[in-house]
Amino acid sequence: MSLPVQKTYKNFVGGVYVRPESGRTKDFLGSRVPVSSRKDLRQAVEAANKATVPASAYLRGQIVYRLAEMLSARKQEFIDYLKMEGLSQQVAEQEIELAIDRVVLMAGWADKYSQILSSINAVEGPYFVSTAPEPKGICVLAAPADPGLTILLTRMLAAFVTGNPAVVLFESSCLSRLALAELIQASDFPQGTINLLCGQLDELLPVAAAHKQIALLDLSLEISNLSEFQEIATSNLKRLIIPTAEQLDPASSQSASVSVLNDFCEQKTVWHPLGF
Amino acid sequence: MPIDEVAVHERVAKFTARSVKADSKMNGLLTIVSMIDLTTLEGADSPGRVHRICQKAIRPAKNVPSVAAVCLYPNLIAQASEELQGSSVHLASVATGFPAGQVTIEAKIADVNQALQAGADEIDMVISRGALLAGGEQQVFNEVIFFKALCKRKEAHLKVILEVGELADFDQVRKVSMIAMQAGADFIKTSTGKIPNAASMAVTLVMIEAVRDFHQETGRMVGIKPAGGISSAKQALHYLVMLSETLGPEWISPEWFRFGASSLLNDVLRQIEKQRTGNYEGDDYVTVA
Amino acid sequence: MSQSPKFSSQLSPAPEGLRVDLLDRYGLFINGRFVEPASGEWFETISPKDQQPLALIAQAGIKDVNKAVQAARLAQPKWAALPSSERAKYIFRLARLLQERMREFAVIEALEGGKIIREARDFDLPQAVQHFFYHAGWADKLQYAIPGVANPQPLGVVGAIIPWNFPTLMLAWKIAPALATGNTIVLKPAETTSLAALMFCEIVQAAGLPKGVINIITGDGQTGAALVNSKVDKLSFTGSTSVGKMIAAQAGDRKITLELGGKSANIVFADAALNQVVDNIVDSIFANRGHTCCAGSRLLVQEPVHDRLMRLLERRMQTLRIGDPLDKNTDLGPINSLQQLKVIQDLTASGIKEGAEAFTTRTSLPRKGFWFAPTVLINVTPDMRVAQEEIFGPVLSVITFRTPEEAIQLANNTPYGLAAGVWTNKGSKALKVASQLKAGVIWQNTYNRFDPTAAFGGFKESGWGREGGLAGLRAYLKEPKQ
Repeated sequence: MSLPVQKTYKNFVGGVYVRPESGRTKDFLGSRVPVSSRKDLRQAVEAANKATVPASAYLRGQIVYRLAEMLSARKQEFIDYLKMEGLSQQVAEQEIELAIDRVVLMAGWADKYSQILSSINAVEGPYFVSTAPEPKGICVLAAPADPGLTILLTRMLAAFVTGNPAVVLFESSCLSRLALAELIQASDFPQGTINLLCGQLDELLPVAAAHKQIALLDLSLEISNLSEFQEIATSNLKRLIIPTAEQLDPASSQSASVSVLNDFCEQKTVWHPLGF
Repeated sequence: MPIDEVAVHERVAKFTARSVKADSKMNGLLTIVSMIDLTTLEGADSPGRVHRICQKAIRPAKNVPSVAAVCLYPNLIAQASEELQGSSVHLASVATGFPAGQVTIEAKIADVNQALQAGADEIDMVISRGALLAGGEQQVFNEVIFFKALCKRKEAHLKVILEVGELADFDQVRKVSMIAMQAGADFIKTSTGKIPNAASMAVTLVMIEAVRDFHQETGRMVGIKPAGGISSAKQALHYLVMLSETLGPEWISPEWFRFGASSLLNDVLRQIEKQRTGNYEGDDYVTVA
Repeated sequence: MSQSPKFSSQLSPAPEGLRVDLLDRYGLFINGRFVEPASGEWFETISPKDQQPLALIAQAGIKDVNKAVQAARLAQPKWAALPSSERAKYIFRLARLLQERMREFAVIEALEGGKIIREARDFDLPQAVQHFFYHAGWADKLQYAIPGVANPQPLGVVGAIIPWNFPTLMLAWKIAPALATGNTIVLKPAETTSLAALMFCEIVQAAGLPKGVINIITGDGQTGAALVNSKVDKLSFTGSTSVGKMIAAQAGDRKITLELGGKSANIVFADAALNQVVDNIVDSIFANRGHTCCAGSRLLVQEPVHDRLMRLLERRMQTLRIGDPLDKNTDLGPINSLQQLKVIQDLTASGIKEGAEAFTTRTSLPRKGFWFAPTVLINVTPDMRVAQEEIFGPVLSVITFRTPEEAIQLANNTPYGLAAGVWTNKGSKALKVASQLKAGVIWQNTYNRFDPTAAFGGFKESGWGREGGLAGLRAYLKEPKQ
């Protein structure tokens, strides 16, 4: 019997795999996974800040569609990860198939959401006035605690598809989520547009809440001290998004509706006179 | 005349879609060599470097024409002038406080005179961008007139570097091109090569069209020199296509078009060999300048 | 070495290297496979560059048409009942497979239709692919298509007839939205450009699409008439206004989309970016040999810049390369057919007879095949036939104007209303002129730009309805009942 070569799991920041700055790791189901600190979060935010999300909606859609292809090709591997992380064969299979279809759905949003969320406004006076969505900026997303990828992917891609770079934080279900990095890298996401950090959320989230470069904090898990968070987050009035229960239910159509995308957008109105 | 930036880029895409093959490619490559201003503008330039670059300029490789010119800092002109004696290669000096131009007018004058006396027959001057961006178009115009007069006395030609990477937009590029030409520039040049945004096909097209329109109005021909950022033969061939389709056959000559480049030459030489032998060339088979 | 051969703009030939193998003959694609036509009739398709025959194409008769419609009818309920995510994935497959074979389709379009390979490769095929991707993403989002309608329903079977000027792109424009909304389709390509649609059937099969969802029937106008008269629930036609009117007369209570002809005005104000205007004039009237319904075939120039613009345009036209559409450097290929060539020749001659002056690209034209040099007619007045009738060729009619009001009046003075261009450096003028032009697509400081997200279609006799975007999607869904 040949000795297996064990896989090392690292964070994914700026398009490359990095160890946590502190060097801290923990055991997770027999593998070592990173325990990220505030420095890692800072680096991820810097990478997101330097990143260029493609301006072309079509290109963003193509990248996400390729992610669906990558996940589909490695379906079995991710089912196995979820089983290791505690789901039954049937539930794991359903979850991954749903995740694949969800990524396909998100790919299709890229060149459509602005048609639904924008308007030409019938103002009084000779002006051409439009209102249209723009990206908010750097989005930090805390993934759900329970094992599964659909909601994490939905919300991460909602940020990307609407033009925002994203940093995803998680504490549990570490192997499947860290392995996502390989799919992301293979799908030609530009460096720094998606960053994945594994770590203690009770350490990382307050730092994220206070960080003034972050435009939006998306919390897909329960926060015990929400009002404290809200106060810290007002340092730069970053948007604090708390998805509803339906939005967190992968089987619900609410979880991938246009309102989810709208949360990651900022509306801009532009006026221009009409006159010879 | 305003410039539409998007349409300029779309036009450029048509030039880069041209497929230059076989005889066209070979002729193009040889023409490019003859249009290169082989350039070195480093603090570390030494007499040894000057010697090597001048020899390379005269004889880039077997069965290949000389380049158009060597381009150097004023301090190195005297030696280069001796080295290039008897060859067809021109000697261009950057001057007027290259690259930033943030020196006094007296210093600029001294700069140009030193280079001319040392034997330069071409001067690549920089315009005062700071003054321009504050609205000083008249000052830019006056400076070009003045330096052109200095050059004329020594029968040298004057290239005016616009430093397009510092200009506001294509409209300003066209405007400044016109100012330079109206003031007597022999060549308009895109860049110093010392800041990140150097030549691009788009900005060069804007300048080429300005030259064409100026010629249409006044009958005077002015040359164009894109500099910096052109390192592959493929890119240079696209520039030739752009030149020939916008200005025409008369302009395809080192008298009216130059490439300000350093590493371009070797890529062109490798491509020439590939055209001749059918095999891709390696780095070790062309000489280092 | 002092003298060396100089680079010349006479570029060496650069023929497209990819060869596409054609069959001797192609049957009809009905219910997932190729079948012989019940009519027993075939016709030849040729290459317009040298009139060489390429293959035999089946002529679908009434029986064949009805068989195809029946196949689509039987397949439709199951197709519509599929989970929307499955429908989306099928259409994504079509997009991907077409994307992988773009170059082959480009070669076919150049060979059979005369379109230059550069355009087919750089515009037609990428657009067609993008069209499939765009609509695939609507299949699972139809609840957003019609405000207030949670679950919009398809119409049923779509009968589509497409023209010869954008063989693959027009096919995408019809098939993608029809399928995304749960309809099935019977499509008839133009008789001079059937091969791209037939090659598309291979993609349909490779995608594993359920049988009968897409059916392709080839043939001439008679086949088209049979399709119009059949039991399809919706008709989607792109072609001439005269045929469009006939179809409209036979619509009955069926929904119908018509993309017809145009005589679009390209308006150039004195403050325009003239050098870029010249480039875009070439795009707007000489691209695809002017075989574009939305071509800017009337150039309205503000008087002060007329002469300068004509000089720039004439100079630019001399750089246009006319020749083998399969050469990557060719700018203009042959006219699509002898019939169309005659129309172009006749109308151009009428223009000169009625008092216009002409300048052209001065170049020799190949002897075999159907060729016409790009031509500009100046001193055209609105009463001339070349100012009113669609030429559908590389011929530009130039008319001058003085004020914005005059430009708008001239531009709107036509039964057509497909497109218009507005060139000015002044934003408020561009917007105000656009607001008063009676055209379905207005290009400001650009021309002939298309995107699946941007609805396209005409006012007045240029057609009914829109294609692309949400507006186009709705055309394939039932209006909610009160």
